[in-house]
Amino acid sequence: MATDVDVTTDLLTETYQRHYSSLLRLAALLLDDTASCEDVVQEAFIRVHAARARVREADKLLAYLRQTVVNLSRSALRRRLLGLKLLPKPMPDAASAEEGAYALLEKDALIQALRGLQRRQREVLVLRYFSDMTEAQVATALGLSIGSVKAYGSRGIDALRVRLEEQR
Amino acid sequence: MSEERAGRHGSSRGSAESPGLDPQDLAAALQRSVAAIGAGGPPRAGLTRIRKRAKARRRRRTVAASSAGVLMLAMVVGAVTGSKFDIVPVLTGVVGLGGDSNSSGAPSPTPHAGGSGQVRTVRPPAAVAGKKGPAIGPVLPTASPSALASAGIPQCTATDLKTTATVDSVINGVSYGHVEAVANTTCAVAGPPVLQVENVAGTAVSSVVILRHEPSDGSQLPSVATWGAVLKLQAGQGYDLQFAWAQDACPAGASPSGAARTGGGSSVPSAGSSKSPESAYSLSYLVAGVTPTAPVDLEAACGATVYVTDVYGQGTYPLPQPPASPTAQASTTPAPPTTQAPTTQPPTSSTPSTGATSPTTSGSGSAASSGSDNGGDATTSSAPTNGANATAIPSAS
Repeated sequence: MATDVDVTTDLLTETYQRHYSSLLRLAALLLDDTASCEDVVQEAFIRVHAARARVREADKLLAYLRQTVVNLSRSALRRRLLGLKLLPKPMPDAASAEEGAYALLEKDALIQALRGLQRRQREVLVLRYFSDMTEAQVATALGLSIGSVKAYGSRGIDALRVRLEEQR
Repeated sequence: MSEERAGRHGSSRGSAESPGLDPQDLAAALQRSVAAIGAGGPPRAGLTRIRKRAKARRRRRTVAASSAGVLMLAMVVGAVTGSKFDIVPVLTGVVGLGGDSNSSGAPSPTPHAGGSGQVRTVRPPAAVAGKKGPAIGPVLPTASPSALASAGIPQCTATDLKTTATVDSVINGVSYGHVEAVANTTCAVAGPPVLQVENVAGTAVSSVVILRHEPSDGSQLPSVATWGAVLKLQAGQGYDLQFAWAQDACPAGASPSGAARTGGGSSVPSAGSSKSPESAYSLSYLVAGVTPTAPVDLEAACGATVYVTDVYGQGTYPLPQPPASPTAQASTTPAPPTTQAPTTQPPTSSTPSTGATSPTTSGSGSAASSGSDNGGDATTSSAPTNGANATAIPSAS
């Protein structure tokens, strides 16, 4: 007979295999420091693993992971991942498999324009348009009102357009 | 899916209607920008690593919580015991005093604490205070200390001694007294002394604790070097011991009161004296741990702590002296119990000092040899005190 923890562990495994990449992309869009994206996502999974007994639904698990990634990315931007960098790295000398992708990311005009936005605007745009979350979900994830999400989204797109035009 | 996405993004469409930055285009552009990231799927060992780290983190938290718990426990134990692990209660061999009414075991200051020379009523840990029986003093009241055997002379009994118990003064609310004993014949006595405290209500066991005097307890008792000394007495030689009676603080709502009264009825001045079966105590010195002498009457509204010294040669140590104050004198004549203000009257007699041979008469009260002990001398028994110094023999213990 499977316990709740076993079920959640299987759910965590499934979520990891299905959504790891999308969460990694989400972190890459939110963070300035692309090298820390994997650490952020890994930390999010560690926290979910520690709280797996309280999470039983797949949708909530993914939402919890997304919110954790957003919060960790925000913290990383504030503290530049000081704490995470102090943690021992699993393979400190090994190059990340995503290095090539990150190099392309650094050259992407949209990403560069996105990084020039305010933090709130960037978070709203990424969650709203990349993660395909509704305004209510974004509001919940960011702790904002729906009106604020709309305002940040609208101003964020305007600012993004201006920056893209400046780059041309 | 694209239609659904268009519907989802519809609310922002108005604000994002700019050439080249349609919300759908933005979503597609964002997907394209990061499409290369994570294309190879999650690392194979990633989940295992996550689980290991989660377990290690949980283990660290458990260790931290355990350490914090141990630290808190140590702090609580330290606060309860007051870091006074060396305090051993003096319990009588007869009634086994030492029960602590303060179940928490926390130190309870006297109502008079705060000034110099005042007694800090340091209660022993509850585990120690709750013991019954003679924690110090003779192991059994009837047992002769082994050290007496080396003296080569018999142990002093009540018939061999003339004892006088006296409350000499009240200093800062603490009653100080002493016991004099003079031998009629050659005998030996062993310390530490055994005191017995009783009250009519029979609550002395739980309300009064007797402690060995330590310099740290704040009382003005002398620091007698020995504890368990054996005194070899010749006829006419005597020995003393001193005690201090410190009333405990009353709980909230109760008004502390108390006074030390002599056996003859003279009141030691004390504010708010109220007598009840629970608050009137009698303290006796048990000769050889067996035979009580005439008691000294004392009062404490909410329990008390008695500090006692070891026996010592008569006059070796001075009696506590109250500070020079015109109100510090007390009457040596019988006074009504309701007397609140102390009366000033010089002592009518003096207690024998070392080597002195002046007797102390009953009823007149006895004063200290220094002549400065004031306030309610209580002579519970009189005896001619030919106070030659006793010979101190180091205790075998």
